Amino acid sequence: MLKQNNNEKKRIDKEYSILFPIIYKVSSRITGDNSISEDLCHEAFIKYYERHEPLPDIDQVKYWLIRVVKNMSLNYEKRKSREKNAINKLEKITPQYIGSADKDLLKQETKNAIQEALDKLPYKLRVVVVLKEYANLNYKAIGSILGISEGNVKVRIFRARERLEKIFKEERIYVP
Amino acid sequence: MCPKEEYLSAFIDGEIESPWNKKIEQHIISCQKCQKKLESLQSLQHALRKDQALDYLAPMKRVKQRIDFNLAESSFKTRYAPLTFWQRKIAIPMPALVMLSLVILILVASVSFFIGRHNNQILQASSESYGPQSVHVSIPIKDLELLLQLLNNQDFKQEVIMELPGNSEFTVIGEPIVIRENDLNHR
Repeated sequence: MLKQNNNEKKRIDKEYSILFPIIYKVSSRITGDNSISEDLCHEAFIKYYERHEPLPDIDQVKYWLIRVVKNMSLNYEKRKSREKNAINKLEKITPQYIGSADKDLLKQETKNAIQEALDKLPYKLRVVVVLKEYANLNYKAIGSILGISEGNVKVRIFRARERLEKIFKEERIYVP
Repeated sequence: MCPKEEYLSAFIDGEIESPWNKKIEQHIISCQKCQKKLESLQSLQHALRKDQALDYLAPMKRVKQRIDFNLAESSFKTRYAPLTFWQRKIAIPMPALVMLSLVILILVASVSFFIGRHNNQILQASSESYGPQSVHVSIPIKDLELLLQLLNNQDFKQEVIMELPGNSEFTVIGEPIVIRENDLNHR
């Protein structure tokens, strides 16, 4: 029994070391915030360990975790936009205080060009291109995770790429 | 004619089906415009994929520690121990469930039907003459032939009243034997 538990623990550790990088990359690319992404990953894995029914293979575990992290990052996105609206409103009332504090905070965050470009995409386009390039999923898997058709995935990925190209061109970022 | 740019984007993801991907491949060789677009899409993809240098090792360690701490708090220990037989859930597809319940229903119905039939196997025949004497004969339904033999017997010349059990049910199986009634009436 003890041996079986040890084996189970080993399996879980291996699963974690394979899946964490993917889940973390996906969530930090969608949210654009590494520390938020860390929290989301923690929550997603805990949710997975709370599950009683085992999933048949590691791919299914990956899809499950990506789905959970995607939902949580969408919630984060909604909360962020609500907070942004609130800050904008406050800024109008007391521009001298809130405005400067917010700007200082933004300056502290050093992000790379790719992440900045991704942040500029609307959520719907960002999430498909992130799932494609960072989770390496095909259109069918992306469609089933997001609950949209393959055709819709194709269109969204193309639009996301067009937008990214445009952003890079405007900001004169060299893409090798 | 150039393919839609949307298809070029799907093409670099390997999402164009077999005969069409070859056509796009051939078209690109001869079309500079599409070649340029394809290169630009590919370099964008390359840039995004190259940006994997996100440092995940430190977060991975931190999150693992947090998870282990949570697991040690015992509320999640179930994950490490396999479920006992009684805790397991099984999933049955809906059509299979319907079929199974139908089969059980049919089985129960047919069993109760046969039991019902076998309860009323005795046919009671009483023959009464004009005189005071009366004869009661109980014959199992299986032995209808015997009853007919008895009635056909030339020595048996009394008026006959046949009484069926009150709660009997009949189904016709094979050639109806009651057709002989005609003969009996002619007597």
